Amino acid sequence: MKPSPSTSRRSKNRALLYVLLAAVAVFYAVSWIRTGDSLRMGQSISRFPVDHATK
Amino acid sequence: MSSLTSLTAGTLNESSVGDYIQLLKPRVMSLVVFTGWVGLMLAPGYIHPFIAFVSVLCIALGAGAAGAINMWYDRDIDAIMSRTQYRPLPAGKISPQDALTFGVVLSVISTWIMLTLVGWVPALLLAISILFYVFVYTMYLKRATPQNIVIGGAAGALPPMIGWACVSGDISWASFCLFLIIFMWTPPHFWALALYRHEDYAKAGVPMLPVTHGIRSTQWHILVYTLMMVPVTFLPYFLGFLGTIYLSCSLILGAGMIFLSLKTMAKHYEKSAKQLFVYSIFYLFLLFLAMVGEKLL
Repeated sequence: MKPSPSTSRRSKNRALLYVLLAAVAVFYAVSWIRTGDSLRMGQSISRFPVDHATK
Repeated sequence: MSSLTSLTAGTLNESSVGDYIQLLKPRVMSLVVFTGWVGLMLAPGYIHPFIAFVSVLCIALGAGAAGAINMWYDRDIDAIMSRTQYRPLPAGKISPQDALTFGVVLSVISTWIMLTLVGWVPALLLAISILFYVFVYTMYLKRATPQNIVIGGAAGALPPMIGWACVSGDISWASFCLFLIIFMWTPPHFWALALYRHEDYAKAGVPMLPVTHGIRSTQWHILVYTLMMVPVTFLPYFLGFLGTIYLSCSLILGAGMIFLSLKTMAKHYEKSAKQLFVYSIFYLFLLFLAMVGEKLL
């Protein structure tokens, strides 16, 4: 049986949502890998590569 | 009384009601309350006006309580940064002990009222929002990683879900979309502030992105995160719970965000970064206003 236009549109939109969510998740994961370096207790920000006072 | 408590800033001055209001971060609270109210307005179902009022009040009190505990914990760095040095704690107007007690009591009261008068789902979300903001963002992320506001943004993004759950008693894709919009709006918003305040953050040792990875990297991050956020704001339309009025508004407002993010890429970025920071506040406000407008029309 052929799905009604509204059902088909709804499933398309749901697919769009999943694609967008997957893209966001990948984006956040990459962002975390690139800049998610953490300071341990007692460490100062100077351990990061940038000269924070001038750059 | 804790007025005898010694402070790093010096002796304790007399505190007023205004100081306690300041402790609740009223400007942050206003946006939190507004987005929470929008969630409540958009949710399917009926809510008694009195319960709706109580719900919004609980969201406001919970947000304020988290803000007060944040100010208690951050009093050392607030005293160093010029933007925050006049807050009630570093200014010596409220003792740390009073601020902490105030925050904890308000947290408990707001969650308890939400639980008893509104429902367990919004109460749970409110508790998660407060606990996440205090323990995950304030006590860990903020001082540990340049991803602090990226992950920490989840706390500020919960209010529309809380408002929604106050009416429907559940969590849906639609309310998750509202969460996602604020979650993705938070990084460009705070990085714009951090761009023109980066020396302040560096002085206090807070690892904000411009401090740890430089200005250029932050400018790129703002642009890319904005480009990711704008399509997410179209989701309510594509999921079918808001129409073309909202879509048109989100397109126009989103174009403004992209334009200012591009402008912030310039070598002399300070003025544009300030403009982006201010615009982003109005952006979120107007975007959520468009949602309610669409719903009411």
